[in-house]
Amino acid sequence: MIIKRKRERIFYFLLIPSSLVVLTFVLLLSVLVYNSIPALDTLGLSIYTKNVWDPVDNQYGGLAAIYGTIVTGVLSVVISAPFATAIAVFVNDISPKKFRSFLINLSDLLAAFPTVIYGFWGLLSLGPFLSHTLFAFLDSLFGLNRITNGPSILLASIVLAIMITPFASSLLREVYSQVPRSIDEAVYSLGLGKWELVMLKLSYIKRAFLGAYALAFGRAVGETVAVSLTIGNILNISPNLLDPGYTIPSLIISQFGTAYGIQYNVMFALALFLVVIGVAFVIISRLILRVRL
Amino acid sequence: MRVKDAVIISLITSLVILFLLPIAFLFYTVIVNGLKVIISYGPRFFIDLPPNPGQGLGGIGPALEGSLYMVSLAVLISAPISVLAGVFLSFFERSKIASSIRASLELLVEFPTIVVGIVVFEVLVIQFGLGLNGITAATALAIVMLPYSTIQISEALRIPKKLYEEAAYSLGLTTWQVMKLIMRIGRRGIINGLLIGFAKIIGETAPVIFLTSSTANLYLQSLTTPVTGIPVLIYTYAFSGYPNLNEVAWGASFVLITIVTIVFVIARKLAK
Repeated sequence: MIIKRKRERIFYFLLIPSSLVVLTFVLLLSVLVYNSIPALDTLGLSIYTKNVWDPVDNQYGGLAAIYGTIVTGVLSVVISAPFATAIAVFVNDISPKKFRSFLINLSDLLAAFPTVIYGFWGLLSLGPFLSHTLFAFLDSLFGLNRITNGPSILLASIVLAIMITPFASSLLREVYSQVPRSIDEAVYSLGLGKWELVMLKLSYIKRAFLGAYALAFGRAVGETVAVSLTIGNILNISPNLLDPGYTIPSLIISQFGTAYGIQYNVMFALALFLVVIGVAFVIISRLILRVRL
Repeated sequence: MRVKDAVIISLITSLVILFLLPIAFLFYTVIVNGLKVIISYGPRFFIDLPPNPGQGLGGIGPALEGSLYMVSLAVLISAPISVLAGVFLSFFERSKIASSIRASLELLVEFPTIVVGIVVFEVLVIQFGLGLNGITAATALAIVMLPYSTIQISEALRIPKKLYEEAAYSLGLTTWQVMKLIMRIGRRGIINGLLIGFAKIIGETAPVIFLTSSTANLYLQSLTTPVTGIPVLIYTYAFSGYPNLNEVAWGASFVLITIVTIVFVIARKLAK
C-alpha cells in the first residue's frame, strides 16, 4: 500500500514535464487558430480558393501555394517510392552483409541531414545540371518553355524526393524485416526464387507501404528551406512542371518577415491549412502502421 | 539462377545505385567546394567575420558561435523535460495519459518547423515583447527537439525496464530508486536521444529564421541582441547571388555536415 502511494506520487511528479508535451501541442494549435481568425473573418475561405496576392487592396488568396504544396508533395512521393522500396528490399534480401550496414547507416545519416544543405546544393549544383540534361530533354520532348535555370516545381520535387527517400526507406525496411520468416522458408521449400520472394513479401506489406508514404507525404509538404531554395517562388498555377511555383511553407518563409496587418494573419491561416493536412496524414499513417501488416 | 530472379535482383540493385548517384554528387559538391574555401582561407575561417558582398572571402565566426549558443541553450531547456517525460512514458506505458502523450509526440514530431517558428515569434516576440535574441530562438529549437529526444529516450529505456524492473523491486528498492537504477542502466540510450535531438536542431533553419538576424554579423554583444546561425547563413547567402557569399556558404555547409556526421557517429556508437 505504501509502495503504491509512493508510486502514485512519482506518477504525478513525472506527469508535470510529460504534460508539457501535450501543452506545447495544444498551445501551438491554439495560437495558430487564434491568429487565423481575423484573416478568415475578413477574407473568408477565399484565402484557400483564390489566387491573388495584392497588398495594395489587401486581397490575399493562397491557392497557388496550396496547389504547389500538393503537387510537390505527390510528385516527390511518386519519384521516391521505387527507390525507397528498392533500398528496403535490397538491405533485407539482396545486399552482402558488409554493404548492408553501410547502407543502413548512410540512409539514417541522410535522414538526419540539414535540409538547407539539400536546398543549397539543389539550387547551385543539381538545378543547373538537370537544366542542361533532364529538363532540356523534357523541353525538347514536350515543348515546355523554361524561364529559369533550374528552379521549378519539378526541381523542388526531385530534391524533396532525394530527401524523403532515406526516411521512407527506413520505415519500409523495418516493416519488411518483420515479415514472418515462414514466408521465406515456404518460398524456398517450394523451389521458388528471389522474384517470388520479393513479390510475396511486398504484397504482404502493402498496407504498411501506404502508411509509410502517408508519413513521407506529411514530411514533404511541411518542408520549408529545401523547397524555398529550389522552387522559384512565384505564385503560379501552371501544369507545366518546369515552371517556378510556391508552396505554403516557402510562401511563409519569404513573406512572413515583411507581412503586416491582415497579411500577417493570412500567413497563420495558410499555416493552419498546412497543419491540418499534416495532422490528417500523420493520423492516417499511424492508424495504418499500428495495425501492422 | 533463373532469368526472373536475375531480373529482380538487377532491377533492385540498379535502383539502389541510381539513388546513390545524386547522394554521391551531393557529398562530392559539398566536400570539394567546402574544403576549397576553408583551405584557401585558412583556419581563420572559423573565427573571422563574413565578407561584405562581392569583397573576397571571410569566415563564419559569428554564425558558428550563434549556432552553438542557441543549440546548447535549446538542449538545456529540452533535456530535463524529455528525460523525465521519457521515463514517465516507459514506466507508465499502459496508462491512458501515457497514450495521449505519445499521440501528441507523434503529431509534434511531424509539425512543420516553419509553423513552430511563426508561433514562437507571435507569442514571445509580439505578445511578450522579448525581442529577437538567443533565448527566443533557443525556445523554438527546444520545441523542435523535444518530441525527437523524448521518443528516443522512452524507446531506449523500455528494454532495461523490462529486464531489471522486477528484480529491482524484489530487492526492496522504492519506485524512485528503481527509476534511478533504470536511468543509470539506460544512460547511453538517454545520451543517444539527446545527441539525436542536437544533430536535428543544429541544422534547422525554418524555426529560427524569423528569430535570428541574418545581418547580425558580429559576435554576441549581449544576451538581448539578435544572434545568427550556420543554417540561416547558408540560406541567406545561397539567395544572395554574390559568388563570394556563395563560397562562404559552401564552407559553412561543409562545417555543418561535418558536425552532424560526427554527432551521428557518436550516437550510433553509443546505441550499440
